[in-house]
Amino acid sequence: MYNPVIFICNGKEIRTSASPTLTLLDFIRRELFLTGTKEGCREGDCGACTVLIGAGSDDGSVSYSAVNSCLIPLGTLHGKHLLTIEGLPKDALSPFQQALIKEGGIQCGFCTPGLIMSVTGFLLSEKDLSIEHAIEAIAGNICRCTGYKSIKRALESFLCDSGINPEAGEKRMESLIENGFIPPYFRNIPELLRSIPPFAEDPEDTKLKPYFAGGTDIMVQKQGEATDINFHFLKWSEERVRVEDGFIVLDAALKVSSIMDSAVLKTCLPQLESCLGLFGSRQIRNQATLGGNLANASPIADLANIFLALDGRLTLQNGDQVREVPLRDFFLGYKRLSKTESERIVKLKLPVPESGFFFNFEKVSRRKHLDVASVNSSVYMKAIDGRVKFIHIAAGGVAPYPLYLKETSSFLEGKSLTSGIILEAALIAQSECSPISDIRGSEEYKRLLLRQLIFAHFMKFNPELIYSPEILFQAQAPSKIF
Amino acid sequence: MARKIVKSRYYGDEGLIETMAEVPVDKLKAWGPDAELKVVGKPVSRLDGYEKVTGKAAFTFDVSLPRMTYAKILRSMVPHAKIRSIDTSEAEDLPGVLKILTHKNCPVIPWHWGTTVLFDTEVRYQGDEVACVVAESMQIAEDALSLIKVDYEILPFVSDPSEAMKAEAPKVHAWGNIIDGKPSLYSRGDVEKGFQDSDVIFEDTYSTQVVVHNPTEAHCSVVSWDGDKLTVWDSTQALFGVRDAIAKSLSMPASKVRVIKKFMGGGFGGKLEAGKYSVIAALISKEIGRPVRIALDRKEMNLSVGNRPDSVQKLKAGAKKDGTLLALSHYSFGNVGAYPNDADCSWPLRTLYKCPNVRTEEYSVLTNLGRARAYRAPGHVQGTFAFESMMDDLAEKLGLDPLELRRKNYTEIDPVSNRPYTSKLILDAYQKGSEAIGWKEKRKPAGSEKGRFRRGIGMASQIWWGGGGPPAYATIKLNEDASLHVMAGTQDLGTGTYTFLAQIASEVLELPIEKIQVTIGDTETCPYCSLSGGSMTAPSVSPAVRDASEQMKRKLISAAGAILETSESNVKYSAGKMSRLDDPAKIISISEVIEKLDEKMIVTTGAREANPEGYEINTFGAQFAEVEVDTDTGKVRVIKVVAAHDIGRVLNQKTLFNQLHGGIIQGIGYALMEERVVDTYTGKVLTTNIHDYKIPTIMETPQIEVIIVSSGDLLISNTGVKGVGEPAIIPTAAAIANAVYNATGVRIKSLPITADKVLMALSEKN
Ligand SMILES: Cc1cc2nc3c(=O)[nH]c(=O)nc-3n(C[C@H](O)[C@H](O)[C@H](O)COP(=O)(O)OP(=O)(O)OC[C@H]3O[C@@H](n4cnc5c(N)ncnc54)[C@H](O)[C@@H]3O)c2cc1C
Ligand code: FES
Ligand code: FES
Repeated sequence: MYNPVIFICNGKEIRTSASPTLTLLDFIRRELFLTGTKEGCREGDCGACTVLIGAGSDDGSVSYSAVNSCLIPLGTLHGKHLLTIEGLPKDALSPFQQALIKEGGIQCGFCTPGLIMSVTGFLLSEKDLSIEHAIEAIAGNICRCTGYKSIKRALESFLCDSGINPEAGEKRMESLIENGFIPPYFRNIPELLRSIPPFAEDPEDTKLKPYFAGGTDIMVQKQGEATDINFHFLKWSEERVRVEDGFIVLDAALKVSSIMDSAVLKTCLPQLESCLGLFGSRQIRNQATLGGNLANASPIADLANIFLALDGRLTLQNGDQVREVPLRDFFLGYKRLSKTESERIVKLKLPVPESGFFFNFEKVSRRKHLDVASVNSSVYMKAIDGRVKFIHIAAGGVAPYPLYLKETSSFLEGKSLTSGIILEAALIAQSECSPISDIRGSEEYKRLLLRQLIFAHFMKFNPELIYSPEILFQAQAPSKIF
Repeated sequence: MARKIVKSRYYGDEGLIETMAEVPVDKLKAWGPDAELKVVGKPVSRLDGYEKVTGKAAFTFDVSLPRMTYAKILRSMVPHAKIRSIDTSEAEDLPGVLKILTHKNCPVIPWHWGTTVLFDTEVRYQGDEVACVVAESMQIAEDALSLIKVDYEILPFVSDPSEAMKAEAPKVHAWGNIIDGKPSLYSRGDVEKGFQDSDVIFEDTYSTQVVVHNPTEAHCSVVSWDGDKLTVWDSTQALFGVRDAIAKSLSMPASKVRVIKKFMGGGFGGKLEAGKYSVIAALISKEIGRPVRIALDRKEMNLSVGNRPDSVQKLKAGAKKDGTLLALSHYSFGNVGAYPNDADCSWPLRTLYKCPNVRTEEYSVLTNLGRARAYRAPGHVQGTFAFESMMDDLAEKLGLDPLELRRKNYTEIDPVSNRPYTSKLILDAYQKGSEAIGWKEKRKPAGSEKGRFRRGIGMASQIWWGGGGPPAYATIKLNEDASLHVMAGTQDLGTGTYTFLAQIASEVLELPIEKIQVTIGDTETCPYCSLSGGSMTAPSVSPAVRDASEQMKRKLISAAGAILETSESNVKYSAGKMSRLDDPAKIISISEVIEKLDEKMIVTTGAREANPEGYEINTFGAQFAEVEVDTDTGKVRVIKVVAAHDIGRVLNQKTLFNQLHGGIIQGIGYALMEERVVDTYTGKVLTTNIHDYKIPTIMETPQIEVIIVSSGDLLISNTGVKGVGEPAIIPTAAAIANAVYNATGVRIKSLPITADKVLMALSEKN
């Protein structure tokens, strides 16, 4: 027997003593018999299982995000509001549901409920209700039938005249209720959530269980295992971005989507938002955390790559013991970290960028969205009159761990940038990396791609430096480089 | 209405179908191009829309019965081995485990044409069935799988078809690695002479990858016994095929097996055959006396339920200076996996253009990998990529516009059978498609673009069958309240079958579509229709529904004549009302007629008529693609696709667009990202989930313009419909490859056209 997990499902309170590590999707389909939520992959890759989770905050408002229920353990739902397709207005179809029928945005219909939940999540939480953002919000919903065109049309047709209040918050919520996108019981949810007592923690020692942050890595890794494993659900005091003593400080619990939304980062590092748009899907970004990305230490981890270039420093904590490690020294080998098992990442600090800095992130993957990189690379630099004041370049997918290109960066430091220097830097980068052949590309290709991404950085920095890649191709055929 | 039995001959998803079929003696006149139709062809919203947008649509995956149990299959983790022993004792002891089936306790049931059995003692690919556990819950079944101990005697394996073709290669089956032990051959004319007479010869090798259907809903069945009667809910494209395979496997009368499929989450050809899993579930269910649910997971979907075979195609063309084709030869082999299937792909080369001398030689090769199956236009997709890439190369070599080369070799007679086509509007497709993409204005010489991002335009032609044919039947029941029930033993894969069958009945009887209920997907209540593959459903079934509806109308007119005391020819039918022509005030409604007949309903059964003799029925089209290549990274982005097709009459514009858009996006996946990757050192598949197996998302969707150049084929059937599901995907990859060539001057000859291939090719060129 487990301590009860209590939450609101659609309009009703659910109290269950099922295992807190049970996958939410299974609970929804097998215990609640709400089979409108579909299962397509169990690994976060298809979006068929998308549901909305609403979390209450101190000011009484509830914020909703679309997530993949196949990556969520039941236990994390305690005190939250779960919305499934069955919880949408019953008396009449919502304008989006109607538009889907009218525009023919459905074929087999298996992806449809997940798609509708993603769009509902978008309407509830997105600041910018443009068609571009709506499309981007469903990039994690795979449809194998329709070719998406009719779905796009359905989005366009209802968004152009939806009656939704663009102002986020209470007014938005009211307008969504009035226009039939969500049912009136949404008004009672904050009250209902407040009445749920906090989760009764199991006193059992949790030290040996793996930390559970967003679960987007750990739940996928768990799939193969027949029996449930236990997690130590991380409890966080804070989840924000702030500036302290010349540093931007990010709590490890921050979700990728909150990093994208952060006002501080939008001001200090405006490039970040669009870079992170290439991270997984909306559902994944709503779940995946900064700490998880760094601790998982995948060689192609996007956040690790970006923050290596941005000269990040980690704060690790074990009980009362706190220490700081430069991110550059954190990755030691394949999934080997400068961190003990019981230490956890609590914060990441970045120096506040100097004015006139340049930052760029490049990611090449087989599919542009909802994919991990073959190779990714970030550069953070400042040049004065063409001379490099400082530069940090990171590269992923070319070593067993997220790589800081130390030699390349120090080579470029102080140099005046010319095509020749960049070519030389690319050669150093290629010698500094050690890619392996796998399904994301051959060793040879990844090496070549790393060079091309370095070119791409400088093309963005100053197109005149590398106005035509042919010049560089001719300068040195790849066979001579390897 | 009078019927007769005729020989029926038409092409399905895997080639020629020859069968006897019952057809109407008198053919109904086809709706002409200017028939004023009110419902058919209109963008009617799908009838199952409400169920699908509310999550109420019950898929097989969602079927849940009282006392239902859960099955999970243990599959081989090695590519080739003999099972020395299996120990299930520990798994059996696990509380909640109800039954475990292995080769030791399962009846010997032949599978794949007797090349294996339900549980074989030799496993021939990673994913072959070894055991099945049924338990009280999914979790217990999964736990039990890990407790089964299998002792394998590892055997040598082969995963590369070019290796498998060698004499010394490990044998997948004792009888060899090549299907039939020989190539399938075709020839016409004198190829050698054709090449000799040619001014220009072009030769090259093209290859394509294995791709996996990956429909969103997994293969699954729920089975339940009631005495000696078995009901099977299955996610299938072939109701009657599943029924018969299960009846045969279990040695029971087909009448005792009922297969039901209401909604399914896609199939694309992967669900055209009965699965072992359904039979296994039925066997266990009978024994434990409880319903069994069996659903494959995504890994099993990527290993065990089919794929499009790969291909290596060596092509050679000979032409005169003016582009007239004189000779074509095709040599190919493809990987069909561990059990028989075919990997032939030369049909486009044989039939797309007029060419007097053609020779093809094709090998279907067995390896220790998951078996190939029909996948949306089997063979034509691979074949068209290679052949239409080559035509582009040839045009370049001849200094001709690629479109001109194709027009030059146009034929109105099928070059294989020498029969005329019932209709062929490919020239219109060239014309309208090229205008829409801006072929003349925008297309520059290959490789002339400069700069990092380079654009190019390419095109490819399409041919496919898709005419369907008899037998196919539909029953309609008209109730006293003038509501109507249409029943046909066909299936809706999401393609809109429910909707267009209702549209046809609504059109003929002028009754509102809301009053029509369509029942399909049930072998017990519906008359026979064939499987849903080969783009045959609409062309085969829609005429049967029209036939039944017209009969219904005649019955009503006849009854009205008797009631209104006049001849039938003096009765006019209009929107469910019959009136005397000479005295329009004498009018009677359907309700009144049925009441007077003292029946609760009127029933008619219609049949698909015979195809016209002496003709070939094909669909045609051309797709044009505009792409942008990032020469710094090698990434290809499709900007626009124009799809111009001749598919006979359009039944429903919305579902038509779905089919075309969906096919094109799958074609883009095939062209740019989808690929089953195998580690040839271990024989294992590396892409067993959709994290690694990439399917296009909405972000990959380009602009798409659909142009239908046809308005109804008067010769084939009373509805004039040809299929569209498969034509949609056939030319996409070739058009993209040709556009990439046009943009960069670099020819990528192997699919998928990934950034690495483009980048490596670009850097080699420079
Ligand atoms: C469909 C899909 C797409 C994805 N796309 C991308 C992508 O584009 N780019 C990319 O970089 N990644 C991607 N990922 C990987 C994953 O989302 C990220 O690595 C994510 O940031 C992990 O965070 P999490 O909170 O979900 O980690 P979790 O799964 O909760 O944890 C991951 C690991 O880190 C440990 N851990 C978590 N938090 C801490 C902490 N604070 N201190 C110490 N240890 C901790 C856990 O114990 C676990 O071992 C994708 C994953 C999926 C399923
Ligand atoms: S089931 Fe595919 S994302 Fe959850
Ligand atoms: S409609 Fe079939 S997967 Fe989207």
